[in-house]
Amino acid sequence: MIGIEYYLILSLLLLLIGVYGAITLRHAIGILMSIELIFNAANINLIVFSQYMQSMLGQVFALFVIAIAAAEAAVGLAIIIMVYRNFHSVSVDEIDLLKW
Amino acid sequence: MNLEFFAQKCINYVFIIPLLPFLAFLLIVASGLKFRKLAPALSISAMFLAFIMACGVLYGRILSHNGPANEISFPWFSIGNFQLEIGFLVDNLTAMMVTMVSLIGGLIQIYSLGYMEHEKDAGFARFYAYMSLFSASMLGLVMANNFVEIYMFWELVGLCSYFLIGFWYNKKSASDAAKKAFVVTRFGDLGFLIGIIMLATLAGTANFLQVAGILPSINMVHGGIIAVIAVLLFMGAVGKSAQFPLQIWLPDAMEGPTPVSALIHAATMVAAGVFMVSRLYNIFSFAPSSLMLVAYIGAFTAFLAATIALVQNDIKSVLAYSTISQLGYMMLALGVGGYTAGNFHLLTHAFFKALLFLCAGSVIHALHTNDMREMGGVGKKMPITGITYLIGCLAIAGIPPFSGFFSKDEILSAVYNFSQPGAAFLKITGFLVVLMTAFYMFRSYIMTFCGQPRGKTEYKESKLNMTIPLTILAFFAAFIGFLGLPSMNLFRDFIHYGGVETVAESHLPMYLSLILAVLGILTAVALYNKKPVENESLLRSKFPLLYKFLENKWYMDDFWSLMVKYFLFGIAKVMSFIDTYIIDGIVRGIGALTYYLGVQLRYEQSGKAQQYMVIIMIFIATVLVGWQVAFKFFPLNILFGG
Repeated sequence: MIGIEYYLILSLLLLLIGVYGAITLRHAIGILMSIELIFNAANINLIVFSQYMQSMLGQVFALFVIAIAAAEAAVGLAIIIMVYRNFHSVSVDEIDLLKW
Repeated sequence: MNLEFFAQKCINYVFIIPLLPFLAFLLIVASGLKFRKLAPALSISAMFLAFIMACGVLYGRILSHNGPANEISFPWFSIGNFQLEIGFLVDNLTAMMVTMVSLIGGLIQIYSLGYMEHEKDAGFARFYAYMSLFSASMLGLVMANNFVEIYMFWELVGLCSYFLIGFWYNKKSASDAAKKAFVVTRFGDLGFLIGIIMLATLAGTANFLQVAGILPSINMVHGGIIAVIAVLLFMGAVGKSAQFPLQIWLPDAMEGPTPVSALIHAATMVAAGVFMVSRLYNIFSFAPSSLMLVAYIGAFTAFLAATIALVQNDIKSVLAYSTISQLGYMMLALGVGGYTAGNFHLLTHAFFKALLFLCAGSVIHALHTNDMREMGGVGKKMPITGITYLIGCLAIAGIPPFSGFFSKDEILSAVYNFSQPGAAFLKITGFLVVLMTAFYMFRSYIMTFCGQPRGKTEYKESKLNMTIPLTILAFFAAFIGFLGLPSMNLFRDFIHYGGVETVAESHLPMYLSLILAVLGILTAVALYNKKPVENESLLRSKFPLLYKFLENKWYMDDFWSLMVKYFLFGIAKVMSFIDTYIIDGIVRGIGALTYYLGVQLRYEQSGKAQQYMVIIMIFIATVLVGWQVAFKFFPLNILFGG
């Protein structure tokens, strides 16, 4: 039996990789992917605690999160396409109109 | 029986007296200053009704045989425990003043019908509107029953004098004189206001009679403070009654129309100061040192103004300085304890000074000049004016049986019987001023009415509407003194402070003042009867320095302009510096700091989403770590029930 802490460490690593990617990547699609990683880190936590506490609630909740993540990805990709049409670029450091 | 009923009603409804002229003022203003006939009709009939009621009040007070004062009062508002009321106090002093003010005010308004005839319709109506308001304020002032009310009317009187002195506001000198009168009297009023606030705070009430009741206990607890309050209150009187060193506004006030001068000098404005000291005499008598100050200021003012009057060539200026001098007499009398004498002189002076001014106005109206060197021989063509002016002169000079003789005699006896240290100065100035008064008044009479004409010759006696008031005033100026006839003492029985004062036993002051007055008249006759202008310039060349000094009014105007220039403007500059650089500096500094911070911090808003994300991460990490650290070192979780 693998202890709960290993799962939590995995989830933490996934979260950190996601945050690192979201902060450092220039490409909007890459950032979207990093955010998916953060989502999945949370999902792992939900499932692990569900198993640990012998309750189905966490797993059901994880399914909902996956569904919402899919919707979010669709909306995010649509936004990125609109940004590309207007700016001819999806590099987030070039898109900085909203400033002083 | 009916008459007594009427008198009682007059006293009960005394507040109608000031309301009548005030109503006239409102109606004239409401009618748009358009109707030439309506304005004087309203104004004069209001004054006439006020006079009838005032007579009723006077009669009622005479019937009451020095009974307690009648007081009507309505609550106005209250702040905490401090009740303020609007009320009307009628005692013998008020009765005298109300009658005097309404009579003289009414006569002056009738006279103005003739004097102001060349005025345009709007100006004519405006004149009557102001005159009504002026009389209303003064009538209100004399029957006020508390300090706040008297201060209110006091300022109204000042405001009206501003309007009327600056009546011909197109003339620069007139508007300047009006401003000067207003500002200089305000200067004194400042002290008056501070005194009122101090007294009302200490006493917890502003009502005269209640304050009078509380005074002994204040005196017990606070001692010397009453003297301070009395001096502050006296400052107001110094401003209003043109006493040294604030006498400078009164001569300039001659810029107004002559009936206004008559009103200001006789019945209203300057009388307010003397009246106020009389009304608050109980406060002054609690602090003998303040009474000494009143006496000294009065004596010095009387002397100073009399010396200046000696060399004036403008007939109105002579009268203006004589007013200051006579007011000095009244203050002197009040200061040495001659309460009756001071008020008696106030009464007689009101009649003969109004008379003198109206006579001068009559001459000015005919000759269109103020300068006595261009007059001469007016008495032949204007006999009524000449004779009434002579009566006024005899009255003010103190020749029996004219009114001034009796009142001045009472003042001089009061001064003569005064035995405090320094009384010698008061006595000497008191008697010297008698000599000078007789001299300068007869100088003006001789230069104006006797000898050969030196100017315009085509003119005639003024019309009836001017001569009738003159005659009535002359009658009073001649005979009202008999109220103070020593054997009967009608006036003393009516108006006195505390018990009836000691009557002068010595006849010395009377003879002395009479001799001095006659001497003054004879000197004036000798110097000015023939060739007045030549003799004047001869005197001028003999005593050039003295003349220069007197013509420059003892350099008092220059003194004040220097004071204003260096002292007042100096303070103002310091204040302006503090305001501009320190107060404004703080305000602007806060603004500038905020602006600077904004300018610097706006670069944080870079528009790069990832940068925001970094900041959010750092913040979250800090909060989480900080939370743990805080709970480790400060177990605050107790607070949250944990």
